Amino acid sequence: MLLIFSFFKTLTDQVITVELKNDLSITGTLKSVDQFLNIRLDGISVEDPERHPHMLAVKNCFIRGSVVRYVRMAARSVDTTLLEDATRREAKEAKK
Amino acid sequence: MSGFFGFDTSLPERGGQRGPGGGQQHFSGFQASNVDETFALGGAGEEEDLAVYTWGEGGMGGGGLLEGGDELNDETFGDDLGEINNNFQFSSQPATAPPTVKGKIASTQSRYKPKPVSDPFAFSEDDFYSSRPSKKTTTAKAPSRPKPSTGQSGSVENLWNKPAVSSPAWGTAPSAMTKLTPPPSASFPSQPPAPGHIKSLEEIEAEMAQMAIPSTSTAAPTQQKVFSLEEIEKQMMEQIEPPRQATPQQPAPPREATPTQVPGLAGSGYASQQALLDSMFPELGKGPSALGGLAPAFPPGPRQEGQSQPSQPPQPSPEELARMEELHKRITSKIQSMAKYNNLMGSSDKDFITRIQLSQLATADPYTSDFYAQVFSALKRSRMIAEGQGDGPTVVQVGAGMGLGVGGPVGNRFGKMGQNTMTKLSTQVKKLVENRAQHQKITNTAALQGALGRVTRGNAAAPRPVLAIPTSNKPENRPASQLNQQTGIHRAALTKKQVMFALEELYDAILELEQMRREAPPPTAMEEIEIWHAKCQAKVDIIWRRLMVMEPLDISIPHPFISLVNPIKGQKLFPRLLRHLPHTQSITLLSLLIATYTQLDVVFRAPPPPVADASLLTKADRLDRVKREAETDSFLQFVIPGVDMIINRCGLGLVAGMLAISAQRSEVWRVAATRPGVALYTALLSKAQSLIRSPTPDPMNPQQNQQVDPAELEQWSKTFTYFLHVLLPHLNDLFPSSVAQKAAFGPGAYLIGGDAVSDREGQEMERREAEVWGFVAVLAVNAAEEDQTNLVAALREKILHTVQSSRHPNVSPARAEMKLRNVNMFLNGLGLDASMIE
Repeated sequence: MLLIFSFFKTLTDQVITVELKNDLSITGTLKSVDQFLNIRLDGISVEDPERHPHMLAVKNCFIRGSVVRYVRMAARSVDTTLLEDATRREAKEAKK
Repeated sequence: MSGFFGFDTSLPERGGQRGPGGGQQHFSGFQASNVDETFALGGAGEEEDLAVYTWGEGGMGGGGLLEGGDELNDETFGDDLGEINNNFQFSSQPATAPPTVKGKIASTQSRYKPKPVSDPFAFSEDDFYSSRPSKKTTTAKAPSRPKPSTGQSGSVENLWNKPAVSSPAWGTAPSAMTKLTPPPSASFPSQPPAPGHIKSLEEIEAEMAQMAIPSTSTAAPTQQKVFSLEEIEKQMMEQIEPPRQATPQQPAPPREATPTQVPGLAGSGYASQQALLDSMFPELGKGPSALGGLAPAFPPGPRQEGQSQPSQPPQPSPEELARMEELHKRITSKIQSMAKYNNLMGSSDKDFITRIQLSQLATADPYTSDFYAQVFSALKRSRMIAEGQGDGPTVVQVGAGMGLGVGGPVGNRFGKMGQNTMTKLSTQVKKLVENRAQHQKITNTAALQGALGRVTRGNAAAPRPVLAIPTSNKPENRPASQLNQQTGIHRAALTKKQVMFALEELYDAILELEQMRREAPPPTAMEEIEIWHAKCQAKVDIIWRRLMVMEPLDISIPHPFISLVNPIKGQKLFPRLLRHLPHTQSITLLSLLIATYTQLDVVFRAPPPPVADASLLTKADRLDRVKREAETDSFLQFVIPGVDMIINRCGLGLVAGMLAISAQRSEVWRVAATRPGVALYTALLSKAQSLIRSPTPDPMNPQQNQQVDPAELEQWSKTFTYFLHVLLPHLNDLFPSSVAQKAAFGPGAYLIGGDAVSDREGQEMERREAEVWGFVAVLAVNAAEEDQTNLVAALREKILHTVQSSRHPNVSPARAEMKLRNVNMFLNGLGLDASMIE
């Protein structure tokens, strides 16, 4: 869990798309994330705004971590090798 | 203590338990009862305690005291309850005569027993019966509350907590209440706290807090002990604050609808309590105006035995009442003005919470729990610095060796409060970490001692601590490689599982080593640097042993090291390993790699030539092809560059030696027919050629400054000639297009050879061809003159075909250009050009 939190921290100030469990997909700039993976997004836009007209006026939002289904991000903002290493480290920590 | 929060949260409950009327009324009731008490006590003038009592009276009566403490209202709104307690206790303490609490405790029993003696001075029935020294229950109970003073002087926190604890007791009360009420003849409603069971001191105190107002008279006498003068004085000092403590309670009652003001609703616990209160203090229900009703302090006539009560009343003077009322008004308005901000957080509150949140993220070792963010940002920073745009550190360092990772630039992330918060935070975290470290030291062993079964760390009930500080690093004393200790020359190859485990161990070691390198001591500390070097070296040795390069060459097929390099995982590790290995070790490693090159999956099971029609393949076959291709690609991507790097550091003699090894130990044409093989040989040959051609000293490599040794040169030409002659008959088979054509059958053969293949696939094919053309070009450059003619002769068909097909109208211009370039790569090396053909 800490690993994922650590990972999301590196995504701050990048544009990500958060897909919620209610099928609402929000694209925006990640402003902050905490250890519960609550997400604060800025300058948001909603995919399929016809279905969610109430979101049109919303410019930023705070998303509770538990309602997030997926987070989409650019592949170049992820260092896969490093992520693997981080996983190893965490696994090792857990074993200790 | 942040009284504000406590105030907010606990109010509803308390209010619910004792709000007979609106908040206002309640408040007034409180005041009234207070005063009542004083009166009552004063009324017990005949008692010996009279003198002591005047203390209390003075305190209460001195309105000045109340006024004096008033301006502190803003500061301490949370402390109210505790003080209320004190207040009551104080006023009633001196009058030890009516120990009403005892009465409460004993109430049940006293009811069921004959009531032998009555106390003429008792306030309530309970008092009446229980205050007798002869009461068994009383005496029995006495030891259970040995520390009356702690309760009253205890921290406000305690007082806040207690009501909540005991609240359930009220739920049980109603039945007891209703049951009990009939027997006591006249005094039915007079005992507010008559729960069915005997209560502990805590419960009693809690109740006192809950029903602060009505129970005052009963609650106070909890302190049985006779107080010394100092204690009393202390209490008096504390008592100064009662009015302002009372205030916070006020807003609560209005929130709850308190419908039961009618004594008739005695069915529910609340109602019965309510009824009792009402009957006890009828004036409570009349709102603030009831202050005037203070005088008839103890209206519940039935309970009074007629002697003491009448004598009490008229002590509060009109001024006092006025003062009280004014005070009350002020408090009310204050509360109302503050109510606006209920449930809102001030900036300091937000600050506080941010600090708490941040402190959760702090660790002793940011690289452990926050590895990804730390390294990622470090890499990013180094990249940015390389690009010329510096940036501040992204790791918030908190003390030495601890910190918390923050993704982006730090300064502005927390807005205005950034700096301030961070400094506060850093001290806070330092403390936290220290405490935790100490705590862990103590608990670690004790917690698990005697535990049976598997001790899991971390579940829902006991989550893994966020702030985990490693207390000990147990030294690794396992044999470097258990496999190494096996004896016998031959043994089975490593199983896949063994390989994976070995790889994970290697990764762990590499990670540790990299971490070590990252934590290099400052260049000034010589000793530390030496220690650090030694440590790193030890780690490298461990890694070296785990690589199993030094195993005998024929110990197994494939060689353990090759087994490690076979999976993509191991291939990815290769460049990272090389970075840490010293030169000699990397040469050894390369020699082994070349000697066992045929054992590599990418060579031994090279991807088969493409087929024209993929639908002819089974699914497993297709997957297998995809996997092999992926392995080959990854090998070329990760391993070959490392190989190139090592070769580039070799002298001609070494290169010749390596080529010789390869020629001896493997069927060269087989190896050369694979992409990794082609890449390896190209690297070797071109390095040799550059060494021979330009013996000019290379400033980067002082090793090779000297002229090429003629002996080495001779050795090289011998080896190369042998190599070339072995290879020559198979030269055409090296080209993927030829191989594909050969492998094809049926209608596919026409498709493959022809130009019907899609342009994209065709270009991919040309790219592969280019690798081979590059290889034969290097061969040509290295070859002696007569060998060059042999080479051209061997490739004649291929050259012609390629040049012709490049001029074929069906071939796309891009592909045609690639074909020509490929051929020219070879021909140019011989001083020829494709344009010269035909």
